[in-house]
Amino acid sequence: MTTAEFVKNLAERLEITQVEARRLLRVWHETIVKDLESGKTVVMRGFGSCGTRKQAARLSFNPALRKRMKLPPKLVMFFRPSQRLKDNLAAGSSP
Amino acid sequence: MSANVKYLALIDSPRKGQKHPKHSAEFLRSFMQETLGLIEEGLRRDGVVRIHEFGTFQLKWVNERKGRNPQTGAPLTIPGQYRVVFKPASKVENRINRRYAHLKAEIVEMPQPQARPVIAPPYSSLPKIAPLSDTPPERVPIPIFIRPPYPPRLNRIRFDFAEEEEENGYQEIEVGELEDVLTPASVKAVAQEEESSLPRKSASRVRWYGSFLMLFPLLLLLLVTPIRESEVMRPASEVAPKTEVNLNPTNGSSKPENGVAEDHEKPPAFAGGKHQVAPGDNLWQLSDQYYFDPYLWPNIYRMNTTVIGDPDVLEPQEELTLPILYGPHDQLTPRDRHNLAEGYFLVFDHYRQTKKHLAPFALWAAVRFDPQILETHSALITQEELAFLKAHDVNTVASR
Repeated sequence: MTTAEFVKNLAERLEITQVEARRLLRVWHETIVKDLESGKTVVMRGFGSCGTRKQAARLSFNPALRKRMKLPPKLVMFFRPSQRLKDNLAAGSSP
Repeated sequence: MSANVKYLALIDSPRKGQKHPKHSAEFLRSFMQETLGLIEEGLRRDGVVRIHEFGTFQLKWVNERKGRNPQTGAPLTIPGQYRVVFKPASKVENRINRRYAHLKAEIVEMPQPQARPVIAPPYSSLPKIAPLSDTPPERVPIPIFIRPPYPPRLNRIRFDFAEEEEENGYQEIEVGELEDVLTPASVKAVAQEEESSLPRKSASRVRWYGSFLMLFPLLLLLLVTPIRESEVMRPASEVAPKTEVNLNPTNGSSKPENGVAEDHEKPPAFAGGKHQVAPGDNLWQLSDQYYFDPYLWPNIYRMNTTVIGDPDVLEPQEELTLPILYGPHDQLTPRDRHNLAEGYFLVFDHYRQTKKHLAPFALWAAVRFDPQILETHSALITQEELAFLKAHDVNTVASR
């Protein structure tokens, strides 16, 4: 499903214009990202939770340079689906 | 499906300068429900939901695998299943990682593994292996390695110890003699062989002869010690004329003007001797004990370079030869000074190889006792050390 399809369906269900639906969707994920930026974990009950975790600095090998590289630490986003979502998906027909 | 009320409020707050309709909380709740529901629907239908500038929700198939029940440890088979995975858009990734964005990957230079040094065998002359041939190889006797007592430390500098060695009764046993003496095994073997074949009388003679060989070094020592004692205990008046003639034949014996000859007028301040090193001994303390001046310790080191490796470390059970001190410690004779300078020079040479920062001070002390040492060993002293001596003004202090 693409964004256009998503927005079209959303507008139909909520009985609003597609422009407004797109705006609301944008505001929704913008709010989530803002919270993640400040280090918070966002919980959407019945759907899942997402947050950030720190990936420690590590040594790796760059095959192009043929050199060992020290990669700096990094903040990575994670998404953990809720049990309910998992159950729903398992019960329904899988793609 | 419900959503956090705080989120609803946040979503609804319009930005500055924007005129968007404010939705009711009920509407926003239904919006959240529909959004999350749509994502679920999309996942079920297509397996992928892409939301622009936010990320992609995706179903990922995980194969059946084996696991264990963490409580009981019983083996389990975990069935294959779909797992929901979210991959944030690169914009989102960058925004989240802003805190560490300034850090860049660095190239790390790993140390190259170095080849280990090959340790040379301790023997310089090993029997060479002959090339293979039809004729049986000759039997080469295996060389018995007898450790020489200690190699002389300084080959470049030569000292004339002969006189003092005579006086102290110091006698050198050559390595060749030692080799003869230190083969009791072969002697025993010969003795046993002959004992079995010869009649009893001659066998006992052989045994006696063997024991004499074994006792040879002891006998030597016994012979040597009375000579030494007699030399040491001999009154100075007896020694004096002998050495005076040797050292200063032109001068009359009644009025010796030379300082060297003067030494033998009086008995020496310290008559020489031997010292068995006990735990806790050091040269400084020994010098204080025998010469009443700890600063004269290189004099002991000078006579014992073959025994002492490092002048700062003495091993217990080492037997040190204590050289004669002709004058008392506060009125050293020129000969004493010469000896002490040589001793300090030996220390200087040792420190140059081991403790470089201390070496110039030893040379300084040597020059202080006898400035002539600079001329005798001029070839061994570098310009830097001479500069050190100049800087510390030895010549003015030397005439003490």
